[in-house]
Amino acid sequence: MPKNYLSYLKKIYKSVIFRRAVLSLLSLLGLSLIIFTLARVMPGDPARMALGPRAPEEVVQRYRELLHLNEPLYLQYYYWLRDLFQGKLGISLVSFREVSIDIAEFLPATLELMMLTAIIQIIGTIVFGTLSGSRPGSIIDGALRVFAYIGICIPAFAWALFLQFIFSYQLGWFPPTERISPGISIPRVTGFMTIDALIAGNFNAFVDALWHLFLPSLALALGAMAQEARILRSAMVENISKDYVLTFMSHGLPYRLVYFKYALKPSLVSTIPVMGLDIASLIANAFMVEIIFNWPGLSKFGITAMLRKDLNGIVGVVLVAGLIYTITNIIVDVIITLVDPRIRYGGGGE
Amino acid sequence: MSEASTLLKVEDLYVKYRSYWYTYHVLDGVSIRIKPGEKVGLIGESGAGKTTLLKSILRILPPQGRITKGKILYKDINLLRCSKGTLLEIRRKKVGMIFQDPLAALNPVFTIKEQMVDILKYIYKGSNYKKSDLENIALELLREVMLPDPERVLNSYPFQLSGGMRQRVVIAMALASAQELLLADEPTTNLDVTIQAQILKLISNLVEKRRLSMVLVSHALGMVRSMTKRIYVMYGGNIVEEAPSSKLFNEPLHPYTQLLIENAPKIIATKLGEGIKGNPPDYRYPPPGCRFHPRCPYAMDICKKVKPLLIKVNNDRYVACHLYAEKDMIKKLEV
Repeated sequence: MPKNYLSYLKKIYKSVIFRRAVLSLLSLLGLSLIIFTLARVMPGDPARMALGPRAPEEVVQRYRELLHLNEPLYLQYYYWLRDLFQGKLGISLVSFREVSIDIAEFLPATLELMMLTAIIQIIGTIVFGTLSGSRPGSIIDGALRVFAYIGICIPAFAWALFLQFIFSYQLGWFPPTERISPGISIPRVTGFMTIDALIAGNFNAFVDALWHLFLPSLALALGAMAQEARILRSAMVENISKDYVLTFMSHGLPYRLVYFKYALKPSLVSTIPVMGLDIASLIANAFMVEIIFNWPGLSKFGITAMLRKDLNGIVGVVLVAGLIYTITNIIVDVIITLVDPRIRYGGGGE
Repeated sequence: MSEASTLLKVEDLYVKYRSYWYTYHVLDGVSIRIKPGEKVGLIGESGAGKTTLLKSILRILPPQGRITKGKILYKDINLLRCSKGTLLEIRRKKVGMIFQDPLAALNPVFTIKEQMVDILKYIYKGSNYKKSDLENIALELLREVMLPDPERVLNSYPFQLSGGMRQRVVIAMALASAQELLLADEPTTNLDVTIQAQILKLISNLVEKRRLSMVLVSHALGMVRSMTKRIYVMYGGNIVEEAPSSKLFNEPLHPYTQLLIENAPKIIATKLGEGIKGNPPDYRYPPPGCRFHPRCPYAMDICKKVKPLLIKVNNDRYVACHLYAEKDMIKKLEV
């Protein structure tokens, strides 16, 4: 039935997620063009840097030809795109491996960090934002305000140094660096240390991996959490005097239920987009924290690639970051429609 | 009137709102009382403190609002002093409130079912009802407020319903809690005129059927007159007059009441009323003495200095105005 088929296609076309996905792909393509060009117009000779100062000139020249570096930029981009559609991102000039292999090795460490950061950030935001927003002017509110300003002012790497100094070197509660304690080895399956530990059935390793994750995640979460808690708080302050919250007070519902359900959910609508952006930007912003905690993540790999002018490495890392950024944003959009039915049903105009 | 026959008694209530810069002195010594089964009206222009009074009774003022003085007695319980458990119990099972704006009283991000079941869960706490039982009670309540297709309503979000339907849902919710007293805060503002009459009729029938006491706040003076026995008139955070409904409209005593009734929109009027000159009082700096004196056509010197108290004029009429004070009283106050 062609007509049904057509209407089905129309439905897909109309769906927000589909449109977002297409737009994201286009913007990723644009991103690749920009970063591809930028990486090549920056001064420095990638082939020479890869082979070292003492390599004979004809070897370097052959390497340039291998990388198509002598050809015009548009042709280089064409070759790169052709390879991309075969699933290849090119050879890294640093590791001399396929860049996708490098990324596959380093990405899980960063993603794992991002996930725990996101969890800490979301829980912290909801708890602190709701507590201070439901009792504006209280002692808790005042304390959280001070904490929030401190949190916003101090960048993540400073938190990292501070937390590492206090909780690892002084108190010794948390390990200072690395993803897992030396001596524990678990087979790599997904690259996520915690998940691999669970797959191997090694519960101690799981706890150990979490232990290593905690400080860097906390360092990354604190600043964003402070800011988001403030946003949630101001939305809460506005909502708790609204009739649609007071209604539930007037019926004698426990205060905690009223605040954490009937005031929180409408307040989250304005907070979730900010949370999403903050979490997405972790993929690139984790760099300093990864250095401090000696975390073998993507940020660390990306910076090394840039310093060594590893052309394919740079483009690969930026593209993956862009991809994760867009995926996170699509997920955020979906979550918002779940939270706010007025968006889900396309209604809501009073 | 003896203590025992009073259901609700508000005595000398002061409420202030604090913002960052200002303090708003809203309620300024308000006293009202309601006997069991009595229906009482509360009228006055917007911003007179009617909603604040009702919200104070249930202690659900927004956080910047504070009750600074006074007593609220529900039967023998002082709601300002009682334990949190007692207060919750009264909110759950004794007193229900219909909020002013039906478009704003339902939570936009939950279905009606979710909201009603949560409310009913605490009203019937301890009676072992399952979720399906609570849903049936909710359906029954929705039927009682004459909502067509209650199943559909129960599964809807508020924005999927019309204003009239939403107000019926709000009434159904209020009924669940109002087993003794219903506080109806302008239940018909923001609704079409035809629906206004329906809703008021519905409330009136339900209150009758369930033998509830009621405080009705409304701008529809005709409806208030027919639905209540006694009326309080509020101006600027004060009760300025109290009278049986039948007498108030025929012979208003307070200058404000006179102007209010004179200016009420009438269908057969050939021209618009003049309105009451001047503005409602600025609660940050309320006028000294009688809060109505800047707008009062009969204002005297004493009105600017001394706040008039609610005095008994004859056996069932009270008014707070120096015009009705005995002359020698005024002399005494002026000294």
